[in-house]
Amino acid sequence: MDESGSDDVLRLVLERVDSRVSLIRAAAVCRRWRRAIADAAFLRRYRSLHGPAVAGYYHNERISLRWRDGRPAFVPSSPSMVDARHFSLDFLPDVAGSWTILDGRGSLLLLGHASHAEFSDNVVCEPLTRRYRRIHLLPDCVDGCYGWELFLLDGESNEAGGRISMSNFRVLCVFLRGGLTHAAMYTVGSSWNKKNIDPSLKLSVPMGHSGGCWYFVQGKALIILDGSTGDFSSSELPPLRDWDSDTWEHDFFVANGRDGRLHIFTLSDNTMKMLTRLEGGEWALEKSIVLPEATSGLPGYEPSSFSGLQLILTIGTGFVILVPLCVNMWPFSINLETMEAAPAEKNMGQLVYEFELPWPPALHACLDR
Amino acid sequence: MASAGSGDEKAAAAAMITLISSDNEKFEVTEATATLSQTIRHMIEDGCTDGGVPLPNVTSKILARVIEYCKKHATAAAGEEGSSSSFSDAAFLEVDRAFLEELEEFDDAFLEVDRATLFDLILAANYLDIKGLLNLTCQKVADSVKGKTPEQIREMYNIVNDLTPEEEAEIRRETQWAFE
Repeated sequence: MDESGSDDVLRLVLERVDSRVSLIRAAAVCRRWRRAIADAAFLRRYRSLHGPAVAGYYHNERISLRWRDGRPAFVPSSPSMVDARHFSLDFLPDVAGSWTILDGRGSLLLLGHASHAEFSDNVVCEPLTRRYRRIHLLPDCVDGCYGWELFLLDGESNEAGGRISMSNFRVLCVFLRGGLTHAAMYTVGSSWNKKNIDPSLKLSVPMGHSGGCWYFVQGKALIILDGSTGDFSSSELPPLRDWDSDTWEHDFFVANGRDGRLHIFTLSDNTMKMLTRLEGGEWALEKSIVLPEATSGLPGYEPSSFSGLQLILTIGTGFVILVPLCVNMWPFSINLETMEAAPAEKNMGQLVYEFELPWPPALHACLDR
Repeated sequence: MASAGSGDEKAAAAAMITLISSDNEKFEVTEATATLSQTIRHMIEDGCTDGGVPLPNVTSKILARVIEYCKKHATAAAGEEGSSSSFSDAAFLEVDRAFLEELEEFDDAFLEVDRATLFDLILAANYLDIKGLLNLTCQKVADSVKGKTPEQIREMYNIVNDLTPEEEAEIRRETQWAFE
């Protein structure tokens, strides 16, 4: 391939290498291969052909069902792409203290420290390259503010098809002050700037995140925060129930199907329902399972478990972990594709954050001709 | 196979094209076979194939292999068209599946060549613009790179390492996670 192949042919071969790790290794073969791969047009095309590579999932461990979310943990996707030790967060400052993942996007995580008094900054980090950036808390949040939420957003998309990286990410802070909702956006290189949003917006009833967006309930509306633009929009919820009731344990969540369609799942009367948003924006009941029936074959099953409510323990990618609120609590997971039940293997905290390999990969050295 | 027969009948009635390799060897092929190449298809459309199509970039050895590929795939394409009207859906699906399996076996056997031939086939497929063949041969090389270290890739394809040890170390540092 060294003498006979033209650069065109080399590109045709390299764009078919369907492993990110193998592509990066190929970029260390010789200068010519490296130049071909590091080229922005090649990287953009590669990304459009192969999409993002999901290397695994971060979540916050929970010691017991009643504990709040704790230390971050990582579950590699199968087969694993990268050695598990590269997902460690031991490079973070004050590693002895405990960090909790607040959000995850692309190859980055946004974390907060358990003790605000000790460490009030948040950090955004890229585990694979062991880099982090401290994000000072928005001054408005320091005093006179009741609660705030942070969201990790894409930066400006770059010419290699990358959406988010350590030098190109944003953080949205939504906070309450004087009974009104405000927002500010952190951008790498320019810190916090006020962002105009509807002051009557309420994000107190979350429905989870999926497909790069976050979802909330406000009245009869579904509020959507687009993670690539940072903009809010709303659409109508199905008139199925009273969505905005003041229960502190919510029994509904959203998830995207494999086809990209948005689903709402609800739990009531021991039944899990799946509603799908149709092309026209209306919702249709697509599936429904009776939980005592779906779980009757599982170890630990007792009919008496289903006398009360089910708690949503974890909303994962393609699965949810539920636990019936009864004396003998036994968590089980439901595959959202097949709606089949299985014993829950571990306690994974509230949300699971899909982790992608960095894109574009760092290919800066030795590109001189 | 019935549908393969119908393909041959079509072939007999079709116009013939002469392809001329770089070492001046002549190959008679049907238009259906030749037009798997977009390059030749355009030449036919432009009416410049009288007296044969000279292919100065392709040797007779490689051209013979390329024609072998095109014949097989042109027959498969014709077979699919011909069979759709003469079988029930189930039978058609069965024939379709059998065809695809046979074609896959053919492709696998076709790729059993040495590396030099494989690269010559890629160059010919690129020059003649035969999408299926280009994809097949490029994917074969791409798959061979998977899971290999840079050193193993260099050995496999006789690539001279023009990076100094210091440069290699610098490259690895950038994306350490991909090398361990």
